[in-house]
Amino acid sequence: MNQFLYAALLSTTPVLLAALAAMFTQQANILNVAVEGMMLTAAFVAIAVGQATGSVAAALLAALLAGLLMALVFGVVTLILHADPLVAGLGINLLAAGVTVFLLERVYHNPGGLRPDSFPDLWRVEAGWLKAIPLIGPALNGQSIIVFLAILLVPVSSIILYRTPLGYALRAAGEDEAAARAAGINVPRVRLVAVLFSGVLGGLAGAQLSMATLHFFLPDMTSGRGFLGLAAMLFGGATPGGAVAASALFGVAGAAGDRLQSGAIPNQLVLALPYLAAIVALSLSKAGVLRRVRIRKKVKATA
Amino acid sequence: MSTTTDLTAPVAADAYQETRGAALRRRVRETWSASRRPLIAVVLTLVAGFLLVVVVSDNPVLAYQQLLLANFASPANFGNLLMRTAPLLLIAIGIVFSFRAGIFNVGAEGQLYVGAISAAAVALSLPTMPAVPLILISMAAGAAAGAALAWIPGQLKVRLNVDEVVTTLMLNFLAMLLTSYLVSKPLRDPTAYGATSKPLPTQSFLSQIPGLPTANIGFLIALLMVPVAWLVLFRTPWGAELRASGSNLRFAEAIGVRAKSQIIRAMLVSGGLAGLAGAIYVLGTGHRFEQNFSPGFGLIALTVALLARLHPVAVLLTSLFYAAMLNGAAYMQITTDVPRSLVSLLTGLLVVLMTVEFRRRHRARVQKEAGA
Amino acid sequence: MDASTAGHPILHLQGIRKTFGSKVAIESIDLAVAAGEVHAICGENGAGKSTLMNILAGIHQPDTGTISVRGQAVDIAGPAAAARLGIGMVHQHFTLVPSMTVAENIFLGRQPRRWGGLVADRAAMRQAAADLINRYGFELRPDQRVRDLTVGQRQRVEIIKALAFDAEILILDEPTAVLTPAEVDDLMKVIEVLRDRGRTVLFITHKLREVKAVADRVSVIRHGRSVGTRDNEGLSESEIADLMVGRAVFLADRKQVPPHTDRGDDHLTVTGLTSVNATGRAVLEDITFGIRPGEVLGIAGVEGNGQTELAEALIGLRAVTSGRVTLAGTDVTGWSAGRRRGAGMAFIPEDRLDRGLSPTMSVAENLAASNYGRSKLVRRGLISQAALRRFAAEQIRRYDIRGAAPETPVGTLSGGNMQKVVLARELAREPQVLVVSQPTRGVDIGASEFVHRQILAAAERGCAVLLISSELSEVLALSDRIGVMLRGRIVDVLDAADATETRLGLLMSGGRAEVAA
Repeated sequence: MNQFLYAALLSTTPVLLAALAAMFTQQANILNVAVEGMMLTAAFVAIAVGQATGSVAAALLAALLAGLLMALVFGVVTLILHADPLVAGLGINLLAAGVTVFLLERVYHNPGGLRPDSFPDLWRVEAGWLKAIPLIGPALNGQSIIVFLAILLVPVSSIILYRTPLGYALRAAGEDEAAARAAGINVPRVRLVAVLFSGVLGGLAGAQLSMATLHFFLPDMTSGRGFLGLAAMLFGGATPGGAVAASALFGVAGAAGDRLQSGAIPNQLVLALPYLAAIVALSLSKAGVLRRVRIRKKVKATA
Repeated sequence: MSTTTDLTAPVAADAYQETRGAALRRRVRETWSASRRPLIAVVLTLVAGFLLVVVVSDNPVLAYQQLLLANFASPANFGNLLMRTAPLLLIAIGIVFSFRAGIFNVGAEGQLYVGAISAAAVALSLPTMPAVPLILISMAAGAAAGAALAWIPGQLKVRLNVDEVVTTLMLNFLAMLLTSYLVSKPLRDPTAYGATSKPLPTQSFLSQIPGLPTANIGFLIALLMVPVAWLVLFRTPWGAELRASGSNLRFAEAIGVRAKSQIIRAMLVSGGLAGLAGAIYVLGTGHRFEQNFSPGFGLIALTVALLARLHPVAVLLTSLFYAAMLNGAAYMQITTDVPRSLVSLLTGLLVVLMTVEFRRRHRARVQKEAGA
Repeated sequence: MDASTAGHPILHLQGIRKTFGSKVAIESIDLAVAAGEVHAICGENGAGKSTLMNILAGIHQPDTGTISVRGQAVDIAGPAAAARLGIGMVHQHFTLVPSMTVAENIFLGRQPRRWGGLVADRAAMRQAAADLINRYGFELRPDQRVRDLTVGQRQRVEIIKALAFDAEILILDEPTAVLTPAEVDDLMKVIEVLRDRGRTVLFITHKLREVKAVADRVSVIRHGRSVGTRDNEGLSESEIADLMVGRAVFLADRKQVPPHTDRGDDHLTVTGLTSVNATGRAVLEDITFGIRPGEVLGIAGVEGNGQTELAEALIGLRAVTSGRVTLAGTDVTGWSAGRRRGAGMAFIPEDRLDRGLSPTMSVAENLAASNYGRSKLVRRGLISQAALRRFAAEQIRRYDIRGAAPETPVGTLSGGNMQKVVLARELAREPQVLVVSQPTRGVDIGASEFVHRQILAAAERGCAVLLISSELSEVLALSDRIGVMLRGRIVDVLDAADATETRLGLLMSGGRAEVAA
């Protein structure tokens, strides 16, 4: 059980970070499909820099910067050059895939991936008192610093969104652009900030993916986790709490998949679990809303 | 008496019966204004790519020559080019239908895969059937499978308003995992290395185009879709209703168009064509289903369709261009020290730049304000 | 108060001119506003009022001319600059964020802060909002979410938002368009309170009754030029109207028609129609009426009382929970919009850019959009381009659609000409029933007269017309009978001969309904 919770938390973290990344842009009314590409770039850069420098700090920092850079490109073409966010976002993903494979082939002469012989361990949090916390303690104990950071980021994002002037500006820009402009808010700038936030969060997600346990990079290693984060964000109603709940659901589905993989069920079908969960969850949440409305209608009509 | 601010006088009806020359000039003007932006993006991308090649390669000119021109060096190369074009063309035309109807189908890759494996499964299960019916049934199976996969996000969109971008992206992963399972278990060729199906019965192979040893009639089928799609979209009431639904859904509803069923139909066409592309690949080129047979045709076709500004005739040009890049990349990698993934990189760059506004959007804004 | 003798004008415009591309929005405007007065600015649609206000709010910059505030020549570079000069604007379309509270909206973009400026001080925001609300005696609570407020309350939030930052000059752009008569009265009181507190109010409108009720002085603009400024006292409504239009206004007169009892059976019959919205609230309740061939039934009412929903339910775009719609004796209640159209219904929606047109498609395609099935445009399944072009050119000529060729994207036309495209498409079908909503909104006078003539001509051909409009003058001029909608119900139906603005206004605000109840 403890092991399972540990695995669930491990597979939840990148999805959660991606969901938070997508949430900031969604609140500013940008559907951010570029998270996937930000994650992929960061995952690659983390391994490449870690291999070159042997320093965890440098690798982590480089990953964040890589995510930020992709976000900057995305932000500039969509917000300043008025490119379509969906198309440009998919373009960012293609660009990330293209750049990483190109560098693998050209610099590392191995299109199959980048596997350093030795790689510095990402800081882990291990402590007796942590283990002593019932239920979640053992799941937390030994996780990477990024996992703790991700958990901490949930209330922090909540505060940013709902308590700071920036959060107000961001939500206003997303909900009613005209109102935001009338209030003197520089809408493109606020949106750019949201996109850059998503870059840092996407960078963290990518770093966790390649640095926390695997210590190597494979082409397309994000395999849709950014999209899952996007789905989790939508399912969770673009709120921090909702993002956590939905990401945990997909994370548990992923961990369950890994568990079942060793059993009799073919592993492809098991790996499909989180994606299936995402589609079903999204549909159910929409259907649920409609049903509630219908019930209320009936109540009114009979009253 | 009338005191409108509009000073242009009404013009007699016959003034609109424009001459052939005027019509031609108008066409040229419209075509130019529609193609200017994509052309700039292509040129920018190619220039950026060349600069990159200059940095990484000892012989940048040869590399670019191979990339762009080796396709035409021999009939075999040219045939390969056409066969790369076929799936891009079919999928992109399908994407044109869905985008024109206002639903953003980015799940073509998944639809391609289920189409390919369905065609393979049907052909494998009917090994004794004669060629023509077998090919037709296999193609129909491929198209039906692709359409069925596209039908799901279409229904979720119109019934529950679930975002189709997310669902089609998710379905891509589901389709890949599903086909991967099928090809590694029930359809697996035990004698082969890796995850491939058994070879298809030989009578199901598509016949080649005379004079082009590496090309088959699959390309001609794809080519035929260009005028068909153009006619349907721009010359039939159905096409007009589909475009009305896509450009302004509430308007379409108000003039009595069943906009939701237009969206579903567009998704069926879109998925069906992607599935057909998969079937043609399996029957014509692969002769068996292989996992990872597609170098990302689905997403590249999206690029092709958008670069063509969602016009079927332009799609023919952009898919040829793109197939030339994909194909040429292989020749480039063989001849020079530039890896073929350069093309993936350039694709990303092109897609990022594709919808950029290179000139400030003055006119739209002015009209909006003057109307207010 | 005699403002004309006050000293320096607080706001002085001289020779303002503004063009958008080739369109001249403002030719030349001069305006002097005295401190502490309520100054009405009147003009027809398209006269340049909105452009003028946007210049004052810093949204547009004039091409030529000078603006002086308190005697100083200024350059209003943006909304923030306008705020610094003490100019506050209440837009016609509210600029409020629905999910935020009243206090959050007031302080959007300029929250009081704490913790080193990092976090918004919500307690201070609430307190300051409460103070402002109390000072002006508005009925609002700082913690209410804007989406839960009525239109009138939202407008008050807008006003407070402007006042919160010491706006000395408050500009109200068509503030009564969306209000019920009772809310209009409240607003008039609010304006008086503002004047008593020493604020200067610029009140933009084309409704003369309101001008008379509250203004100290009136400036009229026409076709982008200032026509003059008069004291309100001693000025009659018809004098203002003549100034606004520059000629005697000929509103289309209803031809003499036989009484409707002679015209045979109802063509469109509606019985007990009821519909609810997404939250389960009834938006249409027990609507019953009939329209005979050749008859125009007007529907008057303040916007948002179910008129939009009525039109949608009739044309088949809104599900009804009970009741029936009958078209020439056939029950069409369960029919789709397409089928109803096929049976002879036509629809001119209230917002042409929303439901009326596809702005990116060509004039020809917009004209043909619902006519493919009926006309000879389609041969062997394909649309004949020559026929389409001929059809479009014929409509362009017949409906005098200016600045349009068949292939022009319809979104590039002016409001009036876009409306003519909608009109042409719908009337080309020679419908038996026409549902028309706000036919002249945002349309200049010349085009308005044309639209009115076409609607009457359709009725003359025997079409049953339902005319929904929030402009009482329009309803009065065109209708044989007039129904009044209030809160999803038709509260009364009057014969045109018995209807006056006063009677209708009373019904619209629920006057008679209360007596009857």
